Amino acid sequence: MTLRVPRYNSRMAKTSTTLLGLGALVVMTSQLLAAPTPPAPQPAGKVAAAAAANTVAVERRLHLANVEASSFLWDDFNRFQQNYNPMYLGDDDPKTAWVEGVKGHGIGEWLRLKFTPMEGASKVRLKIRNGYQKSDKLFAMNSRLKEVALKLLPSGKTQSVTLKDEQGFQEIVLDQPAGPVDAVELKVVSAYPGSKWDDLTVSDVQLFVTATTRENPAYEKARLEKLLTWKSERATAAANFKKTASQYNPLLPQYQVVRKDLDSTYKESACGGDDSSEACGFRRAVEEAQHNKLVADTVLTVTKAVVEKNFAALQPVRVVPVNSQPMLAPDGMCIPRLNSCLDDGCYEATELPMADHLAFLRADGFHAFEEKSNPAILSALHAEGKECSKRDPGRSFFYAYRPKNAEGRESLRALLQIRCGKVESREGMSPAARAQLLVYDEAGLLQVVTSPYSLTAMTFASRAQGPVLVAAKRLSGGQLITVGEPKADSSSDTKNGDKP
Amino acid sequence: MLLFLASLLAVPLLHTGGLFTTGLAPIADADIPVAQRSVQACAKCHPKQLAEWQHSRHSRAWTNALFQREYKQQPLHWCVHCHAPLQSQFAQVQTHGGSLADEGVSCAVCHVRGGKLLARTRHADSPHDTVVSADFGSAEFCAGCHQFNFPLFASNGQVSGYSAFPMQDTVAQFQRGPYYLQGKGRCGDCHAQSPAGHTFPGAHDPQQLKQALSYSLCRTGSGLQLTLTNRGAGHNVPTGDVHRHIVARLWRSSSPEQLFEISLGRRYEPVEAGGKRTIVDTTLAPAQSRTYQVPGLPLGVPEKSSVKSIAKPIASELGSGDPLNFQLRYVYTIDEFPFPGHEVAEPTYLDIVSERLEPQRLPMCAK
Repeated sequence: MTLRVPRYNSRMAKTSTTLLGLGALVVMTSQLLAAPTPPAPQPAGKVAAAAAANTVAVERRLHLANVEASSFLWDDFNRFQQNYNPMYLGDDDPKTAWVEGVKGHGIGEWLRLKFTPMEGASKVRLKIRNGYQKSDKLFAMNSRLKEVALKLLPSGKTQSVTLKDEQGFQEIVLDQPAGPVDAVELKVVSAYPGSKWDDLTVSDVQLFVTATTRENPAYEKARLEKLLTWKSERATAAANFKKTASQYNPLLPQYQVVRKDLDSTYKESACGGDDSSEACGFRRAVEEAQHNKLVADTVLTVTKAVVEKNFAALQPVRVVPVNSQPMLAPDGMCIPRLNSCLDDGCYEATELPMADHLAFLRADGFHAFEEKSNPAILSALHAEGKECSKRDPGRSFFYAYRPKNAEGRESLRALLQIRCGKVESREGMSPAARAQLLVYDEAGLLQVVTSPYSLTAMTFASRAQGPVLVAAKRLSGGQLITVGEPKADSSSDTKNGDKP
Repeated sequence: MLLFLASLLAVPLLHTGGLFTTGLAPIADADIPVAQRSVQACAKCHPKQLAEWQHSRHSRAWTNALFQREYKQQPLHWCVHCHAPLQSQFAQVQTHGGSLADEGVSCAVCHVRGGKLLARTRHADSPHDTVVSADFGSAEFCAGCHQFNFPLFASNGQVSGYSAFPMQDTVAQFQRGPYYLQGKGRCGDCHAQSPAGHTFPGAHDPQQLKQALSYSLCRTGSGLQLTLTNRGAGHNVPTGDVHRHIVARLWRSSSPEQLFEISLGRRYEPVEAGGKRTIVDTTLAPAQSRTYQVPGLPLGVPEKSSVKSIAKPIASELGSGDPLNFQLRYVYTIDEFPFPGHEVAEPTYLDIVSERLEPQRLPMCAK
């Protein structure tokens, strides 16, 4: 199995750097003049030369962009969260680890560690915390790496290394003729067997690359922050699922993700006229779903009716959930945030309602009262006005669609949520908004979660305590993400027996 | 000599403030013979000026990749009226471009109106029937393209007028600043000081930037103190285009996650009546200084291991042997590192400073 995890768009400049000598530092206190003076005459600019000049190779730490693994252990010892995802290799925390997921000591299993592409890379230094270093006991009980085959990509330079059977960091240096590098592959050749279990484990891998590409520390910092946020949200969700284990929960504790690129012939229709860009984004999501037959036409009809004429059919409402059980995203699902720096706030995951409570999975899970003080929809979508002046996470406004049913009674079929506020950006607080449309079937069960250019279709199954969301499909930009109940890993006969 | 003075007095004076169309229309050039609209017509007698101009951003006003990327996304006539301002240049742009349009802000854009040359002075031997204006090259003159408010759009998608809020405020900033108030009211006092006065160095010139912005770094004990000062520019730094910003960064290569980063620039929000307005402005006004306290982490604090008996701290990575990077970068675009598909064929930024420092060698800050 190949695991994919959220990644950043690659936007590293492939230019090189000019590093002036240490002696060039001049503390220019004396130049902080009380009265400014015009600069002296200068020759013409040499911008291109200044920017292109360079090329001193500098070693820098790179944080993991993405890790692919041949397998990892799906372990439900704590009932809800698998804890051995390979992305834990990048969190600098010896208490977490990647654990392979096949029978035996993981011989032949592999990792592919991806990072920011570098040019002119002549050396890659790996610092590895071998084994499960959460404790002395767990280190001894689980298997550790012994011989590994390493390969730099794309050069294909290989090297075999034997690691010591000890804790702490061990260092491996890989050299290659100066050239590009963007990943390291690590394949298990042999292992030190664990005293109790045969699960092969690695706690951390740190990467240091000597290259001529300009350093971009902000980018690397953002990578680590993203990883740590992911880790924190998983821990919160796991704790909550555990706490409420005996209660009915319409969500499964985890979902297995399958991603597929569609060979779609769908062509976007034009936007314009009275369409706001947001209404158009919603409409395109519906059109793409319709083209790929993702959901029933009856559901799409409701969605279209809401989006038409810039949401004219919606009424501003205030919502009150019938219970306070929080909405927490299990593996494979995500709740879009106001401050997501990516256009797609749920990259490679399906989308849950960004409303704060599980109650919003059903139309009868909340009351909707008329609320005249809501801002106009387009105003909120553009994060305008004082209503949208609160800092992240901002404020939410709701708008309901209540057509008459066959019996002539109004029933809530759709709910538009707009969250708007100010988010921290590079240049100060900046207005931001996110919108999501929830569409319910006649029985009141959530069928579709739509955002601009993205639509997630939900599948519920009847269970003794109530309906449970067992699968979802999300279509966005020609990519189909399907999540479902994870298949039990029958090969896993071991447990690490300790909670994170 | 008397003859020369007499010749100067004989030519009419002209106020130049209204010579530009503020982007709402092209500059009429029908009264300039076709052969004289190109810079090549000036080359024979003014080779030095032409050579300098060819290295200026004015010569690349239309062709530069930063502008062209934006223009392709929103090809407004309004943009053309300052980046290839002549009527005949505009005509070329409408028909897939041409060499005249590629000349950008050429000689005729500033120096010819109504078929006559404009200049601040006229040499006695000049064959031209020059209109002399003391305002030529003044702030008001340059404001024609360097000072304008956010635009308003007509139903055809083109710009029809201006909102009440400045989009590029360079000239107004200058007029509020010390040089102008001291009577030094000419942009050329800083931007036209090359031998022939035609390089117009600005934010794309490393020396100009270094003379506009200064910095100081000192130690405070556990951390650093960074001070940035607009010491040389008569307007704010950065100024001009809405996307321009300056970033200062301090970090160690071994621990980019401990990066200290600040930015000087502006942020905007839409206005109900149309256009936008600035809601955050961290640019530095003339002579303004701003001091930032940099926490201790960049100086190198050993990693705190939660499992002391097991994990070896990587203090050696962060210790005194690992230099501190200091970067002061002027960024011309909203995206310092363009996303795939939005690459631009010239640098999106210019490093004013790019140093590796030994923090221990920095002086202690004065109390």
